[in-house]
Amino acid sequence: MRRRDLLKAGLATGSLAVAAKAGLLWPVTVLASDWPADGFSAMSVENAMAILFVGAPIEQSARVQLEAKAIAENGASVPIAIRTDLSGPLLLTLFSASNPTPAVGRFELAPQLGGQLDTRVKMADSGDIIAVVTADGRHFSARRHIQVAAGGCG
Amino acid sequence: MARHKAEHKMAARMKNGVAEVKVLLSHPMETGNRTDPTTGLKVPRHFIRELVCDLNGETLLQAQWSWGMARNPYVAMRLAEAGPGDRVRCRWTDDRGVEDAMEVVVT
Repeated sequence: MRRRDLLKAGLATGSLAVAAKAGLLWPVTVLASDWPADGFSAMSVENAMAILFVGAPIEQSARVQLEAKAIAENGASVPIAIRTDLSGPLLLTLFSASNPTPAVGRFELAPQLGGQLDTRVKMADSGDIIAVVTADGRHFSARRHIQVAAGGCG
Repeated sequence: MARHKAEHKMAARMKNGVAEVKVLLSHPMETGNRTDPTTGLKVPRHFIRELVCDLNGETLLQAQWSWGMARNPYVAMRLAEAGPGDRVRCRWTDDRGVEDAMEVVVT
């Protein structure tokens, strides 16, 4: 099976997650296929999620923590930290809801990162940052409202 | 492919038994929505599309980005299985085919 086909199949069925757990696929990546032009160009969080997660349900979960200051001085660069106790190879997808195109990026994290990543995103205005962690084919999310003093997409 | 000339910063230091790796890339990450205040023209979209980091050749992080990542993108990660002398390498490509790579040794 070609890798891309495997990835598509795995996303839907969770069989990939089982294979990944067994250590068969690492460091071959979990979900990456082509750079997701459609998802990144989508103009609402809902549309972006529908495209990037192929309509699969996304469950708000305390197992994903999204840390950030409540007020961002500069929307052009908002520091955020993601922490999760979900294990295995993970896919992290970030959204900045106030941006004209909310999907910011997706990150495949090797198990040894321990479900931790720090980064910086743009926020056009005050709004929610959403982190979705995909593990074992299921999607878990955390959401945090951040007030922005000066927008970052102008 | 063109090679990027700007300065990137990368550090990897042991802290509490874990290697803390920090990567700061030099890139404008233009959204395509911004107007140049001098010319009044839209600044074309220009952003890093992909970043890959590995530890001694084993993939740690593989990212696909939109223009929504901050200018001069920053990523920090903690490596439980790394130690002094290990090599962390990152490479990126942007939407114009510019690419660059950098490497740091854990201390």
